[in-house]
Amino acid sequence: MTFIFQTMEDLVPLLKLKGLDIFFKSIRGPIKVVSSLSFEIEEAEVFGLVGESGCGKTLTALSIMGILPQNAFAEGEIIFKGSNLLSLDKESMRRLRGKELSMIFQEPTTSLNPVLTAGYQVAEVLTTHTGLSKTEAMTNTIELFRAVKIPSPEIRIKEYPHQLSGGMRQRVMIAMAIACKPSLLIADEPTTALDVTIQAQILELIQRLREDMKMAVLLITHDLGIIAENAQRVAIMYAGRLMELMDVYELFNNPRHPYTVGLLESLPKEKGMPLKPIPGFVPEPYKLPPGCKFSDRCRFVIPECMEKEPELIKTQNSRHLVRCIRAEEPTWHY
Amino acid sequence: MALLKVSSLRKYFAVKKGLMIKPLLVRAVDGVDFSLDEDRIFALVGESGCGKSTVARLVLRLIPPTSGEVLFQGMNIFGFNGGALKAFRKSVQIIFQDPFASLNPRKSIMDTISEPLKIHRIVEKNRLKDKVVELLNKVGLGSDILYRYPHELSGGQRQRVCIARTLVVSPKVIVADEPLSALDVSIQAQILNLLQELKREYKISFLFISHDLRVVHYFSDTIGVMYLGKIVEYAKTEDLFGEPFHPYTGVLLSSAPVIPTSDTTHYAPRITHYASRLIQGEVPSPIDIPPGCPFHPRCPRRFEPCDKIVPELKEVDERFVSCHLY
Repeated sequence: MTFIFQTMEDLVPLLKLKGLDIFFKSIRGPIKVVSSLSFEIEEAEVFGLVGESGCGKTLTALSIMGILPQNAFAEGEIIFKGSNLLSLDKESMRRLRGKELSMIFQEPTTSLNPVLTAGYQVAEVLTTHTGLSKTEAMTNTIELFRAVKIPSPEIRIKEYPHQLSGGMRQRVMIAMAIACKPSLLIADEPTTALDVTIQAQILELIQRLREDMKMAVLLITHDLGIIAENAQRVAIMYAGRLMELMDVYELFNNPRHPYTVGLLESLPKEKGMPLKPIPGFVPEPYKLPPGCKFSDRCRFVIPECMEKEPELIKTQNSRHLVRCIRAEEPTWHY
Repeated sequence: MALLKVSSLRKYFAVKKGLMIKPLLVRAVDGVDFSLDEDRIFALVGESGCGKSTVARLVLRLIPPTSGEVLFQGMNIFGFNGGALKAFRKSVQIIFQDPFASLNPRKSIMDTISEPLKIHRIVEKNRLKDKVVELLNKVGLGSDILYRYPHELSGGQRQRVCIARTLVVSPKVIVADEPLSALDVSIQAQILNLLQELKREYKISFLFISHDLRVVHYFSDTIGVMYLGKIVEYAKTEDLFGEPFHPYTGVLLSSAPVIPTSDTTHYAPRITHYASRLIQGEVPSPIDIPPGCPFHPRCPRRFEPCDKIVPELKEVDERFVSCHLY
């Protein structure tokens, strides 16, 4: 089981986000919470999306799945296998969802239906998308439960979510998500509600399934440790913007955006050394500073930062994009 | 003398399954011993359901124990009443995990922080406001939030208010039950710095409960690792992270994902390493604790006596381990 970095240039992206804006409706008009987001996910790669709560990472995931809440809407393009998901009608989107695109959520307890058995909920995906009969679907469900390493699957399919532990529920969610062998799995904080030993088991399971089924994974997390061990490329989001996009090696060895540097420096390291937190807190989406959205918390701020919001530009390394006018200065090293 | 000494503390909860059925016992805390010295930080780590928070509630005397005792400055806290209990409440305070749930939404910050000042009659009525502002400044907040309500504040600010509220009574011990886990990484660092400053200034001891090993490594002096209601390893932080003795501690440390630092030059994604450090199965229910060593069904190093004899916590090289390997 070796891990190979593929050359991404000669691959057609599986998913391409182009200038995606997400708004919330309000009495005073729409509030933009995600602004001109653009990135690509290649086939079979793990793409990490990192940011603090409220930065828009979950909204991005929901807009790809086409399940934004009623009071939100998206503009721009989400191109998946050649078609723009935002212009698809409800019925075609419904056929894609669960089959080609699937998602697992942070809280497995609230995302399962408490009055249906675990087996029924997984089998439902199969009967809906593949036209299997109920009995065939149940047999396949037992196989799926085995694939996600649920012990004694024959008994477990008849149990209700409350009879399962948190780790087992997340396995059921994963079984449901991979039932139709999707090309893209969105995992939104899949292990945040779980203990470390179970977290390691679930992440290993996702990695193994990804290799077996050649599916891409959009891994949303706030834990840089999980990113370090699982993702190949990472996008750092702040206040609805993509601040930095790079290979995971670059994240830890050559971070270029002050926010990324701040995140890395916030982590406890040597004992007794005071931590270097990012000062202040994330502003509300309607109170963002002019110019660079991080300028009010940035240690390296200069007057030019407040004038115009910087573009996401390539650094010397063409695979490393940064939204900062001082990104190429050598003065600040992490 | 230890400031806080906990010995063979037990707490069982009865779970009723039906009218005529004998209730089952959840052994949430099953014989825990530790001590906390002045100006020290003792951390309890473990997975959810291992009894960490129950220990916190017992130490605060929020619930009565099934057996065992907690000595505060040499006196059993479960014997306190009247004035002595009120004095104890002043000395030991708690910070909860969720700053959203632990502040009264209908009280302004001024009301919340001044309440203990009134109850314990710490300052004159006309000096209340000055004292509250002084405390807010201590935790890095300004007087502008004095008449605001919790919903107007961010998570980090709310946690700061909770900390200010504990400082009101100048406590000797603060029990911090997962104080960082509801906060973002950049805010976690701010709060952790604040706790360290307060400890330096007021010489407060902490009983720090967490599942985040990185934070515990950075913050604590000694650690107790809990598994199914028992402390399985009890050692100085540096020793424990240097070389874990108990197999469970080893598993816990290796399960946590590692963040490469700038001096890890040969860093590459280590996905393949997962297989070697995975532990099978899940924590059993505390109703049905396995016989012998509670960890033996998941233990990678179990041998002959593990499923029969319950290991005692015994001293090995200046630390305590409950494992038959030692």
